[in-house]
Amino acid sequence: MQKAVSKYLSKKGISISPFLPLSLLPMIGLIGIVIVFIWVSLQTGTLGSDDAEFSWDNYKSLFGDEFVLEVLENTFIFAIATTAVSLAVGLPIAWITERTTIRPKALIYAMMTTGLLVPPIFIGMGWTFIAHQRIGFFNKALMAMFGLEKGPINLESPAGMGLIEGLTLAPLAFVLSVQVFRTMNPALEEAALTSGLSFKRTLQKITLPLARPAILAALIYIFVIGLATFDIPAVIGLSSNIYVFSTYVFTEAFPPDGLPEYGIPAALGTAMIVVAAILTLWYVQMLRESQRYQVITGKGYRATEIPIGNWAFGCWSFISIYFFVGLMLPVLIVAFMAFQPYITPPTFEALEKATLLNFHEMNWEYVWRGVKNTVLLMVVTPPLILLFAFCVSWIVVRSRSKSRYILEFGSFLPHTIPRVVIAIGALMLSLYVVQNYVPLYGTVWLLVIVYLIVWLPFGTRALNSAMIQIHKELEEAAYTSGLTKFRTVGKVMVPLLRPTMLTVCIWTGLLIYREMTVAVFLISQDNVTLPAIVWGRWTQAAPTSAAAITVLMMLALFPLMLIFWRFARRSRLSADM
Amino acid sequence: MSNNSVISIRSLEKFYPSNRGLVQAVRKINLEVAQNEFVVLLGPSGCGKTTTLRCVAGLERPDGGEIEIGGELVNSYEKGNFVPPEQRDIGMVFQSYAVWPHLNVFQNVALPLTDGRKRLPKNQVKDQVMDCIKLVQLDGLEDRPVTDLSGGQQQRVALARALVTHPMVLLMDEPLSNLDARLREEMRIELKKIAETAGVTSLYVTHDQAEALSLGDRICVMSEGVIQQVGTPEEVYANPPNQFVAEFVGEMNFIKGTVTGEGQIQSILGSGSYNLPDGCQKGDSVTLAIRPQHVGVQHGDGAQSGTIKSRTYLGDAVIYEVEISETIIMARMEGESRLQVGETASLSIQHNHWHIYRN
Repeated sequence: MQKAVSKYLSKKGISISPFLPLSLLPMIGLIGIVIVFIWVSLQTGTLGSDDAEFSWDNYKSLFGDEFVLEVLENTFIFAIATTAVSLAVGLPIAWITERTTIRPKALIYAMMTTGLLVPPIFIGMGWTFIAHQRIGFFNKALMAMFGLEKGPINLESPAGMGLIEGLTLAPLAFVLSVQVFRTMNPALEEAALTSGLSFKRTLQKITLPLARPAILAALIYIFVIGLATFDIPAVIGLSSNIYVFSTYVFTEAFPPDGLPEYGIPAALGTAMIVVAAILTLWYVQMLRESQRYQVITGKGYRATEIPIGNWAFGCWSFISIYFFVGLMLPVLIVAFMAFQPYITPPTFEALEKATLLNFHEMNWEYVWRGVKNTVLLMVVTPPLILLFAFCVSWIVVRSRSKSRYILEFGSFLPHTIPRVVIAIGALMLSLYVVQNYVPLYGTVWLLVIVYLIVWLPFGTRALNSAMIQIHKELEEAAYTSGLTKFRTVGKVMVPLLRPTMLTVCIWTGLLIYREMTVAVFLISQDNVTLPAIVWGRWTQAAPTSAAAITVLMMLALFPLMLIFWRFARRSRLSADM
Repeated sequence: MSNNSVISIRSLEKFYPSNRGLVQAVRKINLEVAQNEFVVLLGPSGCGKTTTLRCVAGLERPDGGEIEIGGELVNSYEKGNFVPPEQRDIGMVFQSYAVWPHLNVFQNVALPLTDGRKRLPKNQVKDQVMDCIKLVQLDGLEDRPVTDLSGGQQQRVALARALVTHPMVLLMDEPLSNLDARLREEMRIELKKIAETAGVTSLYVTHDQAEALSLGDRICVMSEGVIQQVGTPEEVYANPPNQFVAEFVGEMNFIKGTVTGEGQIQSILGSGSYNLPDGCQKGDSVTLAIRPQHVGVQHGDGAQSGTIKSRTYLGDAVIYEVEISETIIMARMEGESRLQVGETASLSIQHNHWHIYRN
C-alpha cells in the first residue's frame, strides 16, 4: 500500500522519504497538546459535563482579574531578574574564559558544566534554608545581630526568586555566550588592531557589535525560560503565596481543595504561547544574524588572548564566589539538613547532633519506586529522542523536498511552548481525550512521550549541526557503491555521527534525571520520579526529609557526571535544555 | 642597508608550543625591505612565513630578535620593548578578508580613519575613503553591506581598508588564496598596480610560486623557519642555491650522480664534465638538476635516449616524460611536437643550465 502511494507520488515528481512518518509523530503529538489547550481555554463549566460550553469568558476574565494581573506582573519581574542575574554572572565569565590568558580554562568549564547539571530545586531548597525571611538561618542571625523585626533578605518576592533562578541559569548564559567569543573570526579583531584601533575601541566598535546579536539571542532565550520556569518559584514562592505564571497554573490545576480550574489557566497559557512565540521568532532572527558573523576557522589562529596579569585574582574570586557561594553552599546546606530532624542553623553543635532519622523514617518502598521509574526514563527516553531526532535531521539536512521546512519549524515548536503548558496540555490530553483508548495517564510512558517531545529539539539541533559537517558525497559514495538508504545510515552515517549521538544520549539522560516540572504535573502514585518525590516531601512540610532524598540524588549524580566527562563531546555541547 | 630600509628584521625567533613540545617556527632570520619595495615571503605551509609577517604586524610577540619599521624599533626581545599593532604604521590584508560584517563598504574603509591611529576630521574622511574605494574600483558599491559582496570584492574592501591611512608598510597574508584561479590572476596584476600607485612598501606572504614570481620585486624563500634564498624573481628562478629552492620554485628534474674525478660526474646520463660546486671531492654523491625547458626530445636513438612514457599537450607546448634507467625526466618542447608514447627518443640537454647540489 505504502509502496503504491509512493510510486504514485514519485510519478508526480514527489518523493517521500521513508523517515518522514517517524519524524512527524512527535510534532503531531505536540500539536495535539496545543489544540486541546486552546480548546480548553475556550470552554466554561466543568469539562466533559453537559454544562460545558464554548465562550470567550476565560479570556475576558483574564484581563479583568486583578489576581491574574498580579501574577503577570510577578512573572515579568521574575523573568527580568532571572535574565539580568544570569547574564551578569555568565557573560563576564564567558569572556574571561575565552579571551584572556586565565588558566586553567578546563576548570572553569568543569565548574560551569557542574552548575548546568545541579537540579535548580536543590539550589532553591538550599537558599530557602539560608535566606528565607522567616526560617532562613542567615536572616535570623542578621535579625539577632541588628535587633531587626523582619529578616532583611526577602527571597519570597519575584525579584528574590529571580535572583536565585538567575544563579541556576548563569551556566546556561555562560555556555550560550562562550560560543560567540570562541567562534568569532580572530582576524576581524586583528584587522582592527592593524588599522590602528586601540584595544578599547576594538572592543567597542568590533567585538561587541559583532557579539551583540548572539548576546541578545541568549538574553531572549533565557527570558523565555524565565517566563515559564517552575522549580524555583514553586520551591520558594508557593509557601508564601507568591505566584508566577507556572505556579499559578499549577495551583489552579491542583487546588488544595475544590475542583481543578483549567479554563483561565489555559487562556493565560495561550497568551503565554503567543508571547513566547513572538520572542522565539525574534530569537531565531538574532541567531541567524549572529551566525552570519561566525567563521569556522580551519587552521586559523586562535583569538589573541589578553594577558590577565594582576586581574587573575579578581577574576578567579568572581568565578569562585559564584560557584561556591551561589551554587555549592546551598547544596552543602541541603546535605547538612538531611541529617537534622528539623531546620537547624549549621553550627558545630548541630553537626554533633547529626542523625539518620530522616533516612530511617523514609518510605523506602516509595523511594525505590521513584528510583525504578527515573532509571527507566533515563534508559528508554534518550535512545527514542535519538531515533526521532535522526529522522528529522536527515530530512532537514539532506532532503530537498518541501517537507523539510515544515519539519524545521516543527522541531523548533517545543522551544516556543513553555514546558508548563506542554505538561498541563499533556495532562488534559491524556485524562480527557485518549484515556478511554490508551490508558496512558498514571504510567511512566506518558512521561516518556512528553520528555521525547520536550527534548527532541535539542537532539535535532545537535544532529543537524553534526550532519551538515558530513559531506554529502560520503553518503553518495555509499549509494553508488550499491548500499540501500537504510544500510547507508547504518554503515556510514551512524558511525560518523556516533560521538554526537553519545553526547545527546548522556546529556538528555542527565536532564531527565533532574527534570521536575513535567513530572510534578503528570505523576500519580505509580509513575513517581525522584525529583517529584523531593518536591512532594518539600510541599508536605517535611523539608529535611526532602533534603535526605536530595543527598541520595546528589550521590548518584557524581558517577553520572563522570560518565558525561568521559564520553561526551563537551566542546559540541549546545545549551538547549 | 639598514638606513634605507623601511622594514628590518634581525635575528627574529619565534617558538610555538605543540603536542610534540616547543616548535621553533622562525629561526633567527634577517630581512631588509627597502622603500616602496614589494617583497614576497614564499614557502610551503609551516615554513614560518606567516609567523614572520604577524611578528612584523605585532600580532605575535617574537621570542628573540628585533624588528624596525620606518627606522623605529617596534620590537626588541632583548630590550623588552614592544609596540602593539595598533600603534604601528601598517595596513594589513588577511587571508579570510576579515571585512567587518556589521559595517557596509564605506564604513569598513572609514573606520581606521575615524577610530584608528591616524584620525582625520570628519569632512576629510569622506574624500580619503572615496579615493581609496576608487583605487580598488569599488565606487558605486560603498553603501552595500560587505556580506553581499563576492570574495573578490571583499578582498578589494580589505585592501582599501589597509591602504586608507597611507601606511608606511602594507602586509598581506595570502590575500588571493581564497579566490578562484581566474580571479586570482586578475587580482594579482591589479594588486601590483595598486601597490605601485599607492607607493607603499609591501610584504606579501604566499605559498604559490607563480604568484611570488609575478608579484615580487624580491622573493624571500623560506623553509622550516629558515630563509633559503633572497633575490629577484629572475635570480631565484635561474640560480636556486639549494635543492629545496630548486624544487619549490618552478619545475625541475633531479638526477642522482657521483663525482668520479675533477669536474666529472657519473649518472644515468653517462659520464660528463660539469661545473662542480666548491669543495666537491671524488666519491661525493650529488644531485643534478635541470628545468624541463632546457631538455629537448628528438625522434630516434642518441647518446642519451629513453622511452616516452607520457605526452601532455598544453596548447603552446608539449611536456614529455622520458624514462631513462628507471628515472623519469621531463622535457618541455615549445610549439608543435609529434612524438608518440612508447617511442624511443633521444634527449638533448642545454649543458650550461645544469645545477649541481651536494647531498
